[in-house]
Amino acid sequence: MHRFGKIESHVSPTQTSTMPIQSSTDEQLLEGIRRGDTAAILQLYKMSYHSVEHFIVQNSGSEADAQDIFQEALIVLCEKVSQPHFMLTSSLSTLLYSICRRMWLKRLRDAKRHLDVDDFQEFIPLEEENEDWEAMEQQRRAMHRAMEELGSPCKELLKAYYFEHRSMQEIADLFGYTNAKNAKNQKYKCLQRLKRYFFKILDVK
Amino acid sequence: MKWEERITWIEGYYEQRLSEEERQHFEQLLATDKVLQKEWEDYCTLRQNMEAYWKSQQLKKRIQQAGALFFAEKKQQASTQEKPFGADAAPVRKPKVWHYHLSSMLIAASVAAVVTVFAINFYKVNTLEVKQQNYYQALKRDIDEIREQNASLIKEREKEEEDMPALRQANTSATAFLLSAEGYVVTTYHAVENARSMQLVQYREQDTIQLDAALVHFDKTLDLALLKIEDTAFQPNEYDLKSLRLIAGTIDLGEEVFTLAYPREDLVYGVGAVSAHTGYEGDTLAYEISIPVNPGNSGSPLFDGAGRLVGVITGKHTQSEGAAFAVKSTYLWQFLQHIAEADSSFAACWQHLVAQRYAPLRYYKRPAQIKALRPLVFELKTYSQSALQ
Repeated sequence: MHRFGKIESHVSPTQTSTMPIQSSTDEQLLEGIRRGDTAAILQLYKMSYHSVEHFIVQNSGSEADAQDIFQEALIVLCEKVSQPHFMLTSSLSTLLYSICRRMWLKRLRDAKRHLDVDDFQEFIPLEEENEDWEAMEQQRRAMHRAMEELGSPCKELLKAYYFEHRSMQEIADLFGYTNAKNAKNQKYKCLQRLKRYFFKILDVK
Repeated sequence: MKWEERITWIEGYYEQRLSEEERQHFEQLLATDKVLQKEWEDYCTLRQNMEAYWKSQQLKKRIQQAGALFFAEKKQQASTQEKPFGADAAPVRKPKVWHYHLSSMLIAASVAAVVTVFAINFYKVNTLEVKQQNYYQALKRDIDEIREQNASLIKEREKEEEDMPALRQANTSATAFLLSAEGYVVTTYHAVENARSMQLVQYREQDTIQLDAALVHFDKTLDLALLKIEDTAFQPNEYDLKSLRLIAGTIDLGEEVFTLAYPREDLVYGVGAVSAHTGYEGDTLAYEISIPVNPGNSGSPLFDGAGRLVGVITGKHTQSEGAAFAVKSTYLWQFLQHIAEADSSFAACWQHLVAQRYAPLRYYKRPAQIKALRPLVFELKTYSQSALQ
């Protein structure tokens, strides 16, 4: 779904798509990121944080902005690399820097600030996200709000069953329901409520 | 069909729990029933979004963890590393430094030699005493680093350690205590602030247990940290957590309190009383207590006469006057409650903790109380360089 533009003029477009530039360490790191390893994420911090902070601070941002953007960019990066068709066409640090760069530009644009930025590192132009992505993002935000509205203990109950794959009996014990059947009924009620909130929020938008 | 019945079918189909016969039946229904079709589509959207939500929540937590580690490390480097050379020059500066500071390094070496001779003599006399002294020095050194940043001798030693990260074993030691069968453990934040990896050690009569743990949450102001044991060797049923009782209120001035800690490689019992309702420089988060504490007491639990948990020793200012400080359990309660609200995997543990209503150890004599509580107390060893890297 996400493709990147050309990196260097001497690399032809066909080469870019068929011969990804990857080192073995990047490959290992990618695996770690896909698993969501804290150690792998820490590695990304070490690799890229300083250049990103430098870029943002030099372009009318603060250190707090840099930390903020970097965190958001990490989320995007982790999701990007977990997609089935993802292919690394530059080094990971360049990709991460590019994501941060685009996010910061967007934020500057939203604040109607000037856009003559100083760059300190090579970056790759990233395509603007397509409509597909926009719809996904909307659903994501709706789920986030629906979950917040749902609150405890429904939220935890659903998580225990659908994410942690606990048995109904375990859930009954954990949440203090008299038996598995009661817990199951409760789970369906919670799911129904979540469904109502989620689609209501989605329809309003 | 009622909604619940339909959703049971849908869920069974989605999770592929239906038998072949049921599956065919459901697919037939799905092909003809428009309402069911819509419901099925909605269900899929909902499930996928739910999963994506929890995944991203988990990811966010990990990113925050990594960020906290990164910035803590950065801060540490900034405070120990003075800036005569730029950070970029790091790879090439090493030979220069050797040459430039040769004299001070010779002094350092001779000091080390003298210390070693002393240590060996001590070792012959009494092994335990040497251990205690080592811990004492380790803590003392930390303080010196802050006070005398300009002393080139220390700077040299720091740089030397920085240059050889693989050899670095600058471990600190503190105390931590077990909270739940899920493996949640509480200690002070400053004990784990610069840690890259940590290990919980417990010395028992029959053996010594060593368990790996990871930082889950922390609060810098309260100086509290929540760790989780991440080790397959952890056997929750070996620990009797029923005797642990946390109080939400405060206790009175003059009330007797005791603590169990690992200032050295053995459990040490300390007893005293609450001597003030405020801690260091009027800190309202803490009690002042008159218990003689040693370095390494940080993070040890403070119990009242009935064996209830009333605080966590921070032991930060032990050097000033022989009075110790402990974070009030009121704030530990708040700290844990906030985590439980944000983190559903901790919520169950929290429910369990607050569900206990009385002090199970209140009629026990002190030795019996200690016997019940000591399995929950661990020595916490932290390593600033991860074993993996």
